[in-house]
Amino acid sequence: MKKLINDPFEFVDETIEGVLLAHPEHLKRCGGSKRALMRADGPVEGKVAIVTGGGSGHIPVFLGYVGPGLCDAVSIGNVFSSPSPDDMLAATKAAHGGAGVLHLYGNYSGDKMNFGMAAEMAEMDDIEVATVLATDDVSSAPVEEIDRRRAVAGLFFAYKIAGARAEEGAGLAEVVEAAEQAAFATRSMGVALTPCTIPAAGAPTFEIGEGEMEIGMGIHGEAGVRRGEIVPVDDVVDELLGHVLADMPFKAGDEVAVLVNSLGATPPEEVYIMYRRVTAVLGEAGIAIHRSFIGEYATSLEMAGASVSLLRLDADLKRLLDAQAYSPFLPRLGA
Amino acid sequence: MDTLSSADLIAFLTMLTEEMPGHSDRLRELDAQFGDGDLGITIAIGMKAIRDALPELEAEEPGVILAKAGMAFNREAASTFGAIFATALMSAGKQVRGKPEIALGDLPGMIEAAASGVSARGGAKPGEKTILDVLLPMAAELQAQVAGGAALADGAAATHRACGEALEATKSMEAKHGRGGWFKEKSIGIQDPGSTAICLMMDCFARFVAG
Repeated sequence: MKKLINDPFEFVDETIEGVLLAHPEHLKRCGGSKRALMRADGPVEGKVAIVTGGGSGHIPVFLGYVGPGLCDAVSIGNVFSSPSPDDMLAATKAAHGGAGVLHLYGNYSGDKMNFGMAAEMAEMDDIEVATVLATDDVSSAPVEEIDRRRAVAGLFFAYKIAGARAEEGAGLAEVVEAAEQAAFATRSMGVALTPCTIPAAGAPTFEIGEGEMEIGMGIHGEAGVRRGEIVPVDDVVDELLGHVLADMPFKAGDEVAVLVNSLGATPPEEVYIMYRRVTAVLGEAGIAIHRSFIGEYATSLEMAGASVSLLRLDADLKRLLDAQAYSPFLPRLGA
Repeated sequence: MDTLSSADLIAFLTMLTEEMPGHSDRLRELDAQFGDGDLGITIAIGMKAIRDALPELEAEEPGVILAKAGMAFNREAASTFGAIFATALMSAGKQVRGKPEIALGDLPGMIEAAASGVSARGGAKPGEKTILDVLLPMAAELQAQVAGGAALADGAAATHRACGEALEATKSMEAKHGRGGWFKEKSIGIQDPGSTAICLMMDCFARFVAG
């Protein structure tokens, strides 16, 4: 293991310390909680609060999605592990601006169970809580079992859309509806080239041969749909988009937003080469690109690989996608 | 020992928190075969959290001690197992709310409540290689022991045996939940790590009540 770290067991807390020191005008702790952060200007009175959270190791997921037009607070777990319900509750209470709270996060069992406990505790404090889960990874279960699917980088679109709706002053039910629409209209698939190493574990999460890639692998190294010899990137994009396009299915005349995401170790150059091919494939399929996002939106420590996500747009989703939002972790968001 | 008072329960939890971290390596190895290998660390951290919480629980009734021990575990060792274990203890504790002591006759209802709490929290059904697959056979055995008029120590010993058999049966099951669920048929042949932890706890309980 070759990492720029101190004690591996301090990895998460030292990351949070660094983030807070770098962005004090943007983020603050939720009360005394070590593992819950919120907008520096929060709670925003009268606005539906969006609370997210999950394991560490994926920046900008999750804490990088806290900001105006995005989420209000985040709870932070150990690397690839759920946060505790206490930290989720701390984030929920601190962010609550009197208009209810949306718990918006990825469909993972530990997060789901702990957020479930936190939601029950928040309700005992008379805070109305609703939940929406992102399930964009088409490789993780067949479309008939969409509620078993994992979330990957497409979670970004759910944050962007729900965050914009809340910022518009919509009520909890309307923010839930927007989040559900975005979650349903987003489909992703990734490819992994090398594993990552959880600092406290010290060994790679999985093994993969020098000349191999795995199509459909999850952001914690979960098994994908196919492992094989690495091929030119255009062929990789064709395979990923083949699965993604067939899943909705996306059709000629559709308008989409595109996200090409690096998992951490894959350089921007390679992601732009992927994007070049994405535009060609979508052009051929008669699908128009409204807006594109290229870079690191959901990483997996130093894993090499990338994912492609598509969000199918309608007029409402377009307006919400284009609305202003800000986070120091993201290059460009909306107008 | 016929019943468990708050002091007895705290003595048992103290014994449990001393013993369980010793099984960390074995649980980590089991879990690493089809999970992410964090169960050993989770048990070690969570048991220490219970241990640290016990001094403040001495004045509480047994049901509250169980519930708060579960919450303490998951506060420090949040995870899938942490949430499940906390839910089990909270559900079992609720079942004996208001009672100053726990008798053998209370245990079937407590374990059943734990099983339905776990099922509601995680969405698992029997046969899907989760701790439900040891909890339900334990509840059934306890029911039979109560019906047969067994003493607490004998009932606990028989339940530990039933738990061991149920654990063995998890080997042939295919995991459907959590990280294990993504390994599908590769999980067959390995006993469920979470159920293994429950069985080790039941062993500790049986020895504790035997004195």
